[in-house]
Amino acid sequence: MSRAREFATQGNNAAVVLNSSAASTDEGENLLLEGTDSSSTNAGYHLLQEKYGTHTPYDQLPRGGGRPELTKDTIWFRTWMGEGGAQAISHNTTTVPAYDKVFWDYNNNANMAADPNKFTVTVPGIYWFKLSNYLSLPDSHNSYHVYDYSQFRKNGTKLLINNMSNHGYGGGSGFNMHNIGTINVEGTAILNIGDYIEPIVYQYKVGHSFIITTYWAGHGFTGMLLKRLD
Amino acid sequence: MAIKPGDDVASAIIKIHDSLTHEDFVPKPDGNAKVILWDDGDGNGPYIKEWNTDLAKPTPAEIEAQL
Repeated sequence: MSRAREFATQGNNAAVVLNSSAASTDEGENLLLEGTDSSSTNAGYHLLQEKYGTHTPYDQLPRGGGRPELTKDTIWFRTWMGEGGAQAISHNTTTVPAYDKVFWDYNNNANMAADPNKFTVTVPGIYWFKLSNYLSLPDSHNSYHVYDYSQFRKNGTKLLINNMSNHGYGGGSGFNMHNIGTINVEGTAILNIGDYIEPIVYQYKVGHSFIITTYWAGHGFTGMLLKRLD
Repeated sequence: MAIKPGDDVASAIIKIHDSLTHEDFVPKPDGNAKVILWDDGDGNGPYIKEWNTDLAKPTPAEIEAQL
């Protein structure tokens, strides 16, 4: 810890004063120099605090230097459907997750309460996003699961994608091939004011039109501003 | 019967236009995206967002009749 910091913690940044002396007659008096050189030219002067010396205290480091602290303008959010929440997904239909709960939104900086399925940029910068959902099907009916997409869209256009597909099976019966489990997509993006990010999912299977159900007990929609660019 | 989330609207449209296949509903690049179905997650279920074919675009009532 620096010398400057040691003085500051005493709550007196202008001078060092005495707490008490033998007869308490000097309490509150400034501590004065008796002499600093051979001629005592500084005798009687106050001790001065060195505000910024070579030992810079931790809390006076400039911001943005990788400090492990949250600043007031941090944008960090997560939305979801709550534990056990579910949504019916139609076959062959691009679907917006029906997130309706804000798990967290630091200082409400992301304003996710306005629309938990959409993040609109108010601070230009480098952002990180993650979409994580659990896909399930209500029974083991015969069908063939071919396409399984999870994407982030920027201003309505694909941005970050996790598209999986099988080569598919076009006929016959008695086949039961379904990909169920947690599906993730994540990545970073440089965004400007007014850009918006929306997650979407898409499922396709042949042989049976049974409802696909996605359980959103997973992570949901998470985003964070990594670095401001303004 | 109103269209609701989870309804197989693609199959209903194929019943109306049997020249269409399920692959015609798959987004690009995997599919040809003749028809793009969309569900906004607002509880109103799927609807036709893009109709990129010369076939007559069915109404919601015509689709509901095939569900």
